[in-house]
Amino acid sequence: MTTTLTIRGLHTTIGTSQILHGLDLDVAAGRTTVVLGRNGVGKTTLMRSILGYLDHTGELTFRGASLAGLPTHQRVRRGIAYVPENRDVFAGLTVAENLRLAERRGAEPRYELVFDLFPELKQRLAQTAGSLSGGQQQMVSLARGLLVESHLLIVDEPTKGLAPRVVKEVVAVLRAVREQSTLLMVEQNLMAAGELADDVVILSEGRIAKTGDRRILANREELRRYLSVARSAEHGVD
Amino acid sequence: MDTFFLILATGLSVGALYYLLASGLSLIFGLMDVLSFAHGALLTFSAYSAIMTMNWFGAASTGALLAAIVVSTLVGGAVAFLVEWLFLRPMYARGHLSQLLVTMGIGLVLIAAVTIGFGPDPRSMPLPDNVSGSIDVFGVLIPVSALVTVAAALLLHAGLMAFLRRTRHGLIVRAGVENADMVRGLGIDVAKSFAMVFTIGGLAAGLAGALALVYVRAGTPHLGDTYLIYAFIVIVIGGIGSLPGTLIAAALVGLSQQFANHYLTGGAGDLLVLALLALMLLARPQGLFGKTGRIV
Repeated sequence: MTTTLTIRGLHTTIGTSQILHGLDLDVAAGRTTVVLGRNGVGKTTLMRSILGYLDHTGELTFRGASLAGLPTHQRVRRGIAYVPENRDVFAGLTVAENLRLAERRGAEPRYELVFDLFPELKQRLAQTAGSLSGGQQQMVSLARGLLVESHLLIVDEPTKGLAPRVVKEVVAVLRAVREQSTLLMVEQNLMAAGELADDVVILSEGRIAKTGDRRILANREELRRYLSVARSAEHGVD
Repeated sequence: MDTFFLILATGLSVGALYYLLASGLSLIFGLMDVLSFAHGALLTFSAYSAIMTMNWFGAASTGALLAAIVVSTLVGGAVAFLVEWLFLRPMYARGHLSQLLVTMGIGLVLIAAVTIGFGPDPRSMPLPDNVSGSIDVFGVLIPVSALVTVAAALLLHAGLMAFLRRTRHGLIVRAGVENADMVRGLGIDVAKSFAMVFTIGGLAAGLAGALALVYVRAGTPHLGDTYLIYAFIVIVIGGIGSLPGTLIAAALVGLSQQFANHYLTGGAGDLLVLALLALMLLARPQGLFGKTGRIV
């Protein structure tokens, strides 16, 4: 199995708090790796470290080349796409402008693919992103991440704060996306994680507590030890 | 009635000068989160390059004035480019205080350079007759300098709006004002936009320098200080990062100052502007047009 991203000894400190403590992780090519863990264990910090938003030490190797010293925009140009935790759409810009920002020189924008996945966006191109619902904003955020072909799509909590119906739509889209791209996801919703994960990584206190394939998700007792699982989120695990 | 229109023209002219300086500051703060205290000195430094250009030509012709305006604008842009590249870029990660101190320091250096080169006394700039006089507009004599500064501000505003709305660089700037991190996350080098916006701010300050001389006729090493203070007031009242807000606030501040000074008492204009600022901060801290994610 080839590895898209290899992380060795990742340490990240924010202010005076060390968040990640020498973390090792392999993200397998063509598979979906879901990162789970309680709030505050460092899941988003891990994603932001990979993207170079946060200063860190340790080795990050992406498709055989080191990411050391590269700023965020250069890491993205190497083929890492990012869909952030809070969607981070540009609220004052239209949907079309949000998508246009994701275009890149030398890469063909995949508008057809994006509008196949999110037909609603095509009807709302002239609408400002700030006036969209949370689910629609998530579509814009995912569409930006998919507009240009990437080798690794990092998606941070794509279902956070969405209505159950919209969660199902987002999961359906991600199921289609995982056929085409390597996915690294943070997901607190176990139903969504169960539907999408090939591999599972559980973080605890800034360290890898457990890794394995999706069968980890079936072991409720073990999951409870690591996660604060809300009863409602447990539905759909089996 | 003539007096009213004359004050109106003067107020708009002063407001136009505020806009020329404030528009760049507003974009710079909106995108880069940098409060540039060097911009007043940049105006002064550029203004003196305009004086040198006029002196080099010898005769106060329209051509010489146009050349002086172009030189002043380019000097402002070039100095701003160098300041961003050499001094600000290493400071972005260090927080507001470091940036503020660096820009203040650069401002002091520029003012010192002008003082050493030209002395502390006012230096006049000769103007061609067709600019130093007035023209009859519907029976009211309006100073040509007032029309020139207002026209320049409106042209700059139109140019900046076109740049922001119609170009990819403008789109990146608008997005960066909202969330520079996310722009980086889309593979875009925001540092280039920072350099471009700071340079645009410098070009506008340079233009303001030459036009301030057209308006006040003489420069001192502290010419830009007063304009800088009012430019900051303008961007707070207009809404930081909003160019239409900056334009309207600049006109409002310029007119309030001139009308209060004339119809109340000398100095009342400054008090009125400070009262407007206080009122705005209390009632609408985001300014007239301040709204997250909107700069055009």
